[in-house]
Amino acid sequence: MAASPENQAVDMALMQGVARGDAEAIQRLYDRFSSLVYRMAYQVLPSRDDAEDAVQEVFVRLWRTAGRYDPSRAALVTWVMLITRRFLVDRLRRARSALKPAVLDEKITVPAPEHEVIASQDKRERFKGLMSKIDRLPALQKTVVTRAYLNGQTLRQIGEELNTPLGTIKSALSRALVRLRETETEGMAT
Amino acid sequence: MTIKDLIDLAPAYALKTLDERQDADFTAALDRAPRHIQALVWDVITRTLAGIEGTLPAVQRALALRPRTLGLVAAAIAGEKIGEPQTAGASPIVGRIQPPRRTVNPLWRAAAIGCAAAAVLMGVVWVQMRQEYAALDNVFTSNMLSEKFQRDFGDAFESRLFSASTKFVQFAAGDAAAPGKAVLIIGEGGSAQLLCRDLPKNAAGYQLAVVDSQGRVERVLSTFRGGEQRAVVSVDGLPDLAGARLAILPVGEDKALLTSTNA
Repeated sequence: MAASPENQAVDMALMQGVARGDAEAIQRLYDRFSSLVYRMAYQVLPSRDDAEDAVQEVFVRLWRTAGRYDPSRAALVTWVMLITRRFLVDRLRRARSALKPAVLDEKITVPAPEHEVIASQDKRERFKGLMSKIDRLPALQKTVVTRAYLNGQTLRQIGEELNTPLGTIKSALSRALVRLRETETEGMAT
Repeated sequence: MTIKDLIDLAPAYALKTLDERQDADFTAALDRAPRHIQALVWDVITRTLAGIEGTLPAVQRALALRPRTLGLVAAAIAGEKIGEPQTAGASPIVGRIQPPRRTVNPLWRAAAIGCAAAAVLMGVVWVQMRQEYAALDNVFTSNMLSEKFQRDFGDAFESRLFSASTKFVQFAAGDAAAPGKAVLIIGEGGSAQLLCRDLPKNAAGYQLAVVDSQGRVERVLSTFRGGEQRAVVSVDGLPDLAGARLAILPVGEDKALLTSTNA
């Protein structure tokens, strides 16, 4: 959904400045979107330090891709979220190649060391809002959205691991996203 | 990829849950699609991403993140402008490297070191003139240069290099025509970085040492390889060097290649 013509012109000028490396434009971009980028990163990465690292690298990526921004296609916030999300998933996948992912839908059966308990408390803080919504989804949708959104797995990987057709996984994700949006709207209405 | 595929896969594309090939196919198909179809697909992408915004945790980023982020972007831009690679590999790092601090982005750290090495390579070291270094009248200083550093490398680089607590020791060869230049940047806690350029090849390496007035080694502070066009050597646990005379000597030789011009 594109922004109004006035906002499009403002966003285009801003991103043209960012693409040129104009310091003031980059500061304006940071002031406008750093909170959003940080919250996205904090939700899926293991720690605040990782989230802060990610914010820094996302803004470098935003500078590098600024010349490709087309305000007639999407609002700037959509572009920033898309770039951020893609960076975070790349990072999650790189980390997963070295570490076993923290799959949220798995039960932990071994008592966790103290630092892991702290980490899980931190995780609860981060996922509190999201998990309360995800918990209301049917089982398959809950599994798919958790693995896809929080763990950065591809739909194909999820389908293979759950031994479920790709089309079913794709539909489950779409339906889950719609339901999450509806939950959000209901939450705002009450 | 059909129009239906594009619209069906748009949420998965927005969340980057397509595998690499599908993702590339989607991007190409979206670019080729008619304008009104692109608008439909972008509408789905927008709604998908707007949906996740409401699930984000209500947390605040640290204020210190702003200068670090802007500094990293400035360093990336500066690196691209001067054609310097942005990786640590661009500047051969010899000796023990300090463990990374989690609060400083690794890319930024590499860029800062690379830029510092580049500055020495260019033969221009901007030294903050302070009382204890008032004797450094042979060091080139100019407002223009400091502004260029700030513009090209950002505030974070400036705060690192020009902190009031940072001490600089400049080295020079006794013979002006002799090769090699170096500067030692000493931060808080006795940790320092020695930036060298054009040291001649020496298989045994080099020593950074405290020497007496006759040039005899009193204490070796660090040993490192030479022979690189430029090098950044990390040195930890330096003692108080106030009043000390420093030198860089080839290992096994007693004649200094470079000696400090200030202490």
